[in-house]
Amino acid sequence: MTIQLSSVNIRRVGAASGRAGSLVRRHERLIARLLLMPSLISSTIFVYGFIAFTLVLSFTDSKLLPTFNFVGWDSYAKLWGLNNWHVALQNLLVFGSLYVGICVALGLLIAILIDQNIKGENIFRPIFLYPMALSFIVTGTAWRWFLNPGLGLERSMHNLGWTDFKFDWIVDSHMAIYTVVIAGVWQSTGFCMAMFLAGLRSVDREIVKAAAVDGARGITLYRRIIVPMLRSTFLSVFVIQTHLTIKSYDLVVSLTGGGPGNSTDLPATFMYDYTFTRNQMGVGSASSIVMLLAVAAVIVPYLWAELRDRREKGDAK
Amino acid sequence: MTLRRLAVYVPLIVAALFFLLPVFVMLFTSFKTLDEIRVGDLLALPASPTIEPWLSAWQSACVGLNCNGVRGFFLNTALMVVPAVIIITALGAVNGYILTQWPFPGHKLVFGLLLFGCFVPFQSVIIPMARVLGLTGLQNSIPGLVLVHVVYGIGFSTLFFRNYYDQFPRELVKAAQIDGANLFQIFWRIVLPVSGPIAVVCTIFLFTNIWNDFLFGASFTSGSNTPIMVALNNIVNTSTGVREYNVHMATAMITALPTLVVYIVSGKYFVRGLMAGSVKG
Amino acid sequence: MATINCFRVGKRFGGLEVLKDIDLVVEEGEFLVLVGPSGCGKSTLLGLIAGLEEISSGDILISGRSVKGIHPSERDIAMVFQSYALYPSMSVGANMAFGLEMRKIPKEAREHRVAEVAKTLQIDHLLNRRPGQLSGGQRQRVAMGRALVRDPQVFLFDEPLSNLDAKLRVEMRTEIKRLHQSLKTTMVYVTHDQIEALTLATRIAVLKDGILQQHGTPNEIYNRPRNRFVAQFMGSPSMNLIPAILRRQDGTATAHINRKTEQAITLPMPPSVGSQLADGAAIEVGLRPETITDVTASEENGFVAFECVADVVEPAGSDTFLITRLGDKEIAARIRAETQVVSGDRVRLSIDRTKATFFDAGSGMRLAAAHEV
Repeated sequence: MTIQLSSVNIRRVGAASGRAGSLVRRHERLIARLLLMPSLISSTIFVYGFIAFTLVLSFTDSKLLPTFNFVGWDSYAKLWGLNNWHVALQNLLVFGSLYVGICVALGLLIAILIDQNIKGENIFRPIFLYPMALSFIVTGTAWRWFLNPGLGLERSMHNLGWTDFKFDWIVDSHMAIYTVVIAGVWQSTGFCMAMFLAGLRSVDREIVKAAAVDGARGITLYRRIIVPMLRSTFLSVFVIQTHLTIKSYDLVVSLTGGGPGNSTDLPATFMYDYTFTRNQMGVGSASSIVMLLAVAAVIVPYLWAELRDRREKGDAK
Repeated sequence: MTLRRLAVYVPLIVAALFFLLPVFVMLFTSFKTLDEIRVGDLLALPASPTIEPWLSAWQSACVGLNCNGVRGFFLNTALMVVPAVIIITALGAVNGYILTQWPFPGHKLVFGLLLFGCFVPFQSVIIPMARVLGLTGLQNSIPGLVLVHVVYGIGFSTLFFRNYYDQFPRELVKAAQIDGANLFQIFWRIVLPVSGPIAVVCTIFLFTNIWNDFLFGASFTSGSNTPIMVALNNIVNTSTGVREYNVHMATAMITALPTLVVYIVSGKYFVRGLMAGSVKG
Repeated sequence: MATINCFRVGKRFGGLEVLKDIDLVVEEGEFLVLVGPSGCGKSTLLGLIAGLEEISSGDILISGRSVKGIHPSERDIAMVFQSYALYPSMSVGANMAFGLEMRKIPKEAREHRVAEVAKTLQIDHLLNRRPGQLSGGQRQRVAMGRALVRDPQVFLFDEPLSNLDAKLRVEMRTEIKRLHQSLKTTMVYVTHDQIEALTLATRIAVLKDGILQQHGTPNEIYNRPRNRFVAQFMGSPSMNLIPAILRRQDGTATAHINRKTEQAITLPMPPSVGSQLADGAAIEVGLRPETITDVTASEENGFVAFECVADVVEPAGSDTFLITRLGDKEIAARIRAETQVVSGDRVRLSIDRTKATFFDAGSGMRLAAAHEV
C-alpha cells in the first residue's frame, strides 16, 4: 500500500481557514454552560425558589392570600392538631402500603408468568400495560361507574343469580379507601410488570443454567436465584411507586372526591382543600412541605445513588 | 395442555379480564341509552347501540352551565400539549448533549437539580406558581399552562436525552473537534441525526403525561379555558339534572382516545419511556 | 511532517497528578509508540498533544510552535481512536470528508481526495454505507481513512487495534507500518501491547504512573532496559529476575545465584558493570526466556550451564517454554521444540551470559557498563 499525495493541497487550504471561523470554538466551554442556563434558571426559580416561598408561607398565618406575618411553627402545630390531617395520613399509610405492595406482588407474578415462554405474549403484555396510557381521571371515572352500588357490578351479580352479592365500598366511609387501592392497582400494575419483565430478561442466562445444573427448578429457581437478582428493579419500582403515592391526587378526586365525608382524603387533597377552599394557606403550605420532605426522603438517596453509580462506571477507563 | 401450563395461562387470563373489564364496561355503557342503563346489566352488550352519547359528549354535554360538549376543551388540550412537548423535548436534547458531551465540574449536581424538579410534589410549588401566573397575566390561559408544564417537564426530557447520549463514546466529540467542527456543528451534524428514537420516546412520554394532567389544569385554569381532564371531571361531577352515565363514559373515552391511540401505535416507545422515567436507562 | 517537543509536561485532574514532567522529543518522520500499563498516562499524553485535554504545566511544541491554547483542529493533526468514533449518521464517504468540509475545501476536491484514499485502503466499495453496517476491521480502515484524507503533519493513534480480533490485529499492524514507511509522516501511537510497540516503533517511550521510564529505540528498550519495570513490561514471557550476590575478586566481577538444593550458579559480569557497588551487594540478574535454553555440548562455549527439574512444560509450536525454579524464583526458559521433556524430568539448561542484564536490587535500576554511562 502506497499513498501518493494528492495534487490538491489539502493542508494549505485548510490551515488558512483555521483561525477565522473559530470564534465559537474558542469560547466553546463557556457557550456550553450558557446553553444550560435557561433550564437551570427556570428550575432555580420555579422549583427551588417556589419551594422556598412555600416554606416561608408555612411559617406565616396566611389565610386567603400570602401574608408575611411570621408565627413560627404555629401552622405545623395547627396541622398536627387537625383530625382531617390525621385521617389523610392514615389513608396515605393504608393506601400506600396496599397500593405499592399489591402492585409489586402482582406485577412480579404476572412478569414471571409471562416469562414462561408463553404463547401470545404480545397480546397479554399490552393488555396489562394499557391503563398506564390513561389518566387517573379516566381511571377514576371508569371505576366509579363500575363500582356504582345501584347500577354497577353489584346489579350484574344479582342478575347472574348471586342475589346476596353486596359491594358498596365506594359509598362506605370505612371501605372507600380500598376502592382507591383497587383502581390504583388496576392502573399501575402494568408498570411494575414491565419493569420486572425487563429485569427478568436481563438476568444472566448462564447463571440460570448454572442453577439448573445445580438442581434448582421451577419455584425454587425463582425464589432462590432469579428474584434475588432483581434487587435493583425492586428498588426502582418501590421508589417510583412510593413517591407517586405521596403525590396521589387525581385518582381520589375523580373516584371518590375525597368522600364519603373526608374518609378518602390524602395529604394532596388535604393541602388543596385547606389552601384553596378553606383559605388556610399557612396550614396548606405546611402540609405541602411535609409532603415534599417525604418525597425527598425517598427520592434524594435514590437519585444520589444512581448518579454516583454512573460516575464510577464512566470513569473506569 | 399440561397442568403446569394451565397454572400459567389461567391466572394470566383472569388477570387480563380484570384489566380489560372496566374499559369494556365503559365502552358498552357509552353506546347504551339511559333507559337501557337503568334497567339493564352493566356487563351486557348494548341492546340497541346508539352514538347519541358520543355526539352529546362532543358537542352538547354540559360543563357547569356551558353546554357545548368537550370539543373546545379537546382543542385547548391540543394547543397546550403540542408547544409544551416541542419546547421540553428541544431543551432536553440540548441539556443532555451538554451534560454528557461537554461535561464541566459540577455537571452531575446540575443534572441532579434539574431532575429533582420533576419529582417534587406540585403542591409545594402551586401557591407561588398561582401568584406568578397572576402577576404576569398568564393565569387562566393556555400559554400559562404551557409554561407550567415546561418548567416541571425539563427534568424528564433532560433525563431521557442525557441517558441516551451517555452511551455515545466520548471520542465522537473529540474526533469531530479534530475534524474542526464546533459545539453547534457537532450537535446538528453528528448528535441530532441519531437522536430519532429517544426523541420519539420523550415525545410520547411527555404527550401522555401532559395530556393526562389534571392538577395544573384544575389549579390554574377555569371555565372554558381548562384542559380536557378538568372538563371530564366537571362533567362527571355536574350535579344538576339527570346523571347521564352514557355521556360520562363517552366523554371519558374521547378524553382517553389520543393517549390510547398513541399507545396502540407506538407501544414499544411508550414502554421505553416509562422505564427510562425510572432513572435507570 | 513535523517534530514534537514535550517540555516538562505535567497534567493534573483535580488533586491527581497523572503526568509528571515528561520530556520527550519526536523527530520528523519518527514513529513514536507510547506504551505502559493502563492508567500510566499514555492516553492522556496523546490527548495533550492533540489538544483534547488542557496541559497543566510545561509546554508542547509542534514543528517548533507552542500549541498551548490552540484548538485541536488548528494543530494540523489527525487522530484514530480506539472506538473509531465514526459519526453514526453519516456515510463512510461523508465521515472521511467531514474534516475537509469543516475546513471549507471545495466539494470536488474533497471527493477526489476521499476516493483516492479509499482506493489505497481498499474501502472504495464501502463509501455509501453507514458505519453501523461495517465489520470491525472495516470500521478500523474507515477511521484510518478519515485521518489520511486530511494529510496532516502528525498522525495520532489511540490504541487503534485493541478492538480487533488477534488475526486482524496482526494484519492491520503490518499495514500501519507500511503506511508509515510510505508516508514518512510523524506518528505517535498509544498502546498497552508491548509487541505492537516493539514491531511498529522507531522509538518507544515507556510510561508508568505518569513518569517516563525510558525513551529509546526498540532495540535499546528490549536489550538495555533502564530499570526493572521496563525490563519486565517489555517482552513476553517477561524477563526473569533472579536475586543474586555481587562478588568482586582480583578485578573480576561475578553474580552468584544461590540455590537451595542444587549447586549455585556463577555468572561472570563485565568488569565495569556496577562499579559503584561493593562486594556482597544484592543484585538481580535479568534473563529473558530465550537466553536460557538447551544447547548441545559443542555450542556451550559462552554459556553457563546448570541442571534443574522441569515443573511445567508448555509447548508453543515453534518453541517450548519450560517453567522451573532458580534462586527461589519461578523462571521461564525457552527450549527447542524438538527437545523431549515432560514435567518432573531433570534437564540441563544453559544461560547465554552475554545477554544477561544486571539490576541493583535496591533501586531497581539497571547496572550499566562503563561505556554506556
